[in-house]
Amino acid sequence: MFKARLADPKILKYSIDAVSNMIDEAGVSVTKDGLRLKAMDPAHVALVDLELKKEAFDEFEVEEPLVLGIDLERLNTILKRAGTDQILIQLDSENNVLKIRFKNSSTRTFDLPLIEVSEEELKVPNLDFPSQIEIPPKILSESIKDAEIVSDHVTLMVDEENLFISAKGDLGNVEVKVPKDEAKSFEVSKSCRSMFSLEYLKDMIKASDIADSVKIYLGDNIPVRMDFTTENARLSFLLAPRIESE
Amino acid sequence: MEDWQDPKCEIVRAIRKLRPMSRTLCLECKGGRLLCGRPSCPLLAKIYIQSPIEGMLKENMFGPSPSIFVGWKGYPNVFVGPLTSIEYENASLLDDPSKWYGLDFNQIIKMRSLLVRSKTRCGVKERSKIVEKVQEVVLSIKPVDTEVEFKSKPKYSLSFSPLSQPLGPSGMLRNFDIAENPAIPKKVDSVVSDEFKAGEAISKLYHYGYDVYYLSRILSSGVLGLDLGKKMVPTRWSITAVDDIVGKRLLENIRSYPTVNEFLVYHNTYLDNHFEVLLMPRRWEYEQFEAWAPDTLWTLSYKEPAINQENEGYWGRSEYAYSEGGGYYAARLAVQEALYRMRRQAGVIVFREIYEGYIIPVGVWEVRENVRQAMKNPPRKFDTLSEALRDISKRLKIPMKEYLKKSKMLKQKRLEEFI
Repeated sequence: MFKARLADPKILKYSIDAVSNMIDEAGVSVTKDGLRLKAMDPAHVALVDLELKKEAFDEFEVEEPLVLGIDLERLNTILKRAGTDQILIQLDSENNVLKIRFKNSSTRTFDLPLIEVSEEELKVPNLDFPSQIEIPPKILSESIKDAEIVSDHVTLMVDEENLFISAKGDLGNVEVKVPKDEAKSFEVSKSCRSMFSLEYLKDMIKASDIADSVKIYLGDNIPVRMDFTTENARLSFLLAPRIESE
Repeated sequence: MEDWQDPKCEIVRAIRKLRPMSRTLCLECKGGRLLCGRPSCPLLAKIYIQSPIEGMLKENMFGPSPSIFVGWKGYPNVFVGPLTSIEYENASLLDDPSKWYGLDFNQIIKMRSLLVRSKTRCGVKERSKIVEKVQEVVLSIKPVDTEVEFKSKPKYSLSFSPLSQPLGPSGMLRNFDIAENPAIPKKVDSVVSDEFKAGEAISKLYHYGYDVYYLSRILSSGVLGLDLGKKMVPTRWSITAVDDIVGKRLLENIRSYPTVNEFLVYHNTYLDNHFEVLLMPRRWEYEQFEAWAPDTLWTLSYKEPAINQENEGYWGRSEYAYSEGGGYYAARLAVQEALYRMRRQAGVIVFREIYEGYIIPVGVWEVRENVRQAMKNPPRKFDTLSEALRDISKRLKIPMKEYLKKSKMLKQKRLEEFI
């Protein structure tokens, strides 16, 4: 038995939107603490770790821990239809479907068939990050959108004073400077830089709309970790870098 | 007569006189999209040369028709008509590039010169008597004897396209009739007369064992699709459409297979086109480089080689591969066919180098058959990517670092590399 209700669908909508382009299908664990989804994209470039605490829901009931195999792309297209309606989610284990109900003046019910997901063991690197910077997510998302105008990749760089988000392309360059004072926290043990593909980042920043803050863990030519957090939810990404060449 | 013994020189001479319209546009367009705004490609201008075949062209002809041709200019009102062979022998070979691998430019042109293209303007949705007869010719698995009546004597010329096979003489069609029963296989007949979308019908027929050449002809003739959607498709579009449709269906299977276990390298050279195909032990992803030497038809004003790059991720692509066009889809299909046979998936990188000797575009079949041939050769095996790339670079003329600069897949690190 699993049942949940969200008066405001936003948090679910945006977090699924942020991951469904990268990850096609995943096993979502349901425990008494909430929902958790951890998966890697097919190219093994990005890792997603989504946690929606029980408290994020207005109602949350589960008898015993479950893993639901979900086609995230399907789920995303369904959630896109939610508007601002309240969402009810209920497992119909007899028919092996997840019932997703949007309730307003009418009640709309979608059946999402559950799928078999292979339990591939995730090989996750254990990294030491020399820099950790926490900023308002809007700064990050706007910079990524700026970078998209000129290139398909972006460089994240920090020194003792600033975080730089910059991109170079045939049509020009862009650089966004975020001074230390604008950051919520700024711990930099040494300057470092890494380059990343915007193809992934532009999906990840969709989480900005629901997060209060994003913490960026950066090193020299190693993956970047980005934790988008709000009171009852956390969406973490680990993204492998691109080689800088010229 | 003497000249015909070695027409290559004459054609090459004719082509040499041509001048590009723009330094960079031509390489992207390859005569296919007329990006320069001209009504026809000045580099692919019809080449009029003397040929003994000219004497054999008459207002009325009788002969086997192995295929049809649907033009694209003026779409949706296009030239349609059968291709009819002047000679009786080997007519089926003349429009079946699956059997052409190994032929040189000379032989290809000689063969294509034997096919007379008849033209009549038709709306792509038209269902006239002529269209019906065209469709019967196409569905037949062997050439159909036809009687063709032209408005005036067909003219001898050669025209080339980066997508479709070269075309020889052509004339305006007055009427044509089929002189025997076309040999239409039962399976084909049932798929065609059933209510399938064109894509479904094509993948069904492909799995029955019909090659893409037959399927693209069928698609172009307008027999496929749901009732109201049935329409003729210009030959050049039908070729890439079939590569894409069949490839996407194969990919649905390929994605469910285990990955290859090591780095595998395949290579082959044909018609001054060199291919290196690298299969990497990871899930499906595809990248293709197309490097043109200076002084090919599309790089007449280049001093350095030009490299085009296209790629797609695990889910494939929906946007047309503009910079490489049909060659991207043709090579990808050949690789997908091989993966499907191996029951394996892989991350794939294809390097194509086109040398100065490739002065005449013969059509995209060259890419397909070249890569099909490459994938038949036994692969070289490596444990690491760098060893594989080192091996590949031994056979490439352009330094590997030039490809690395352009590559999306080779530049992207993976999380495993940091464990």
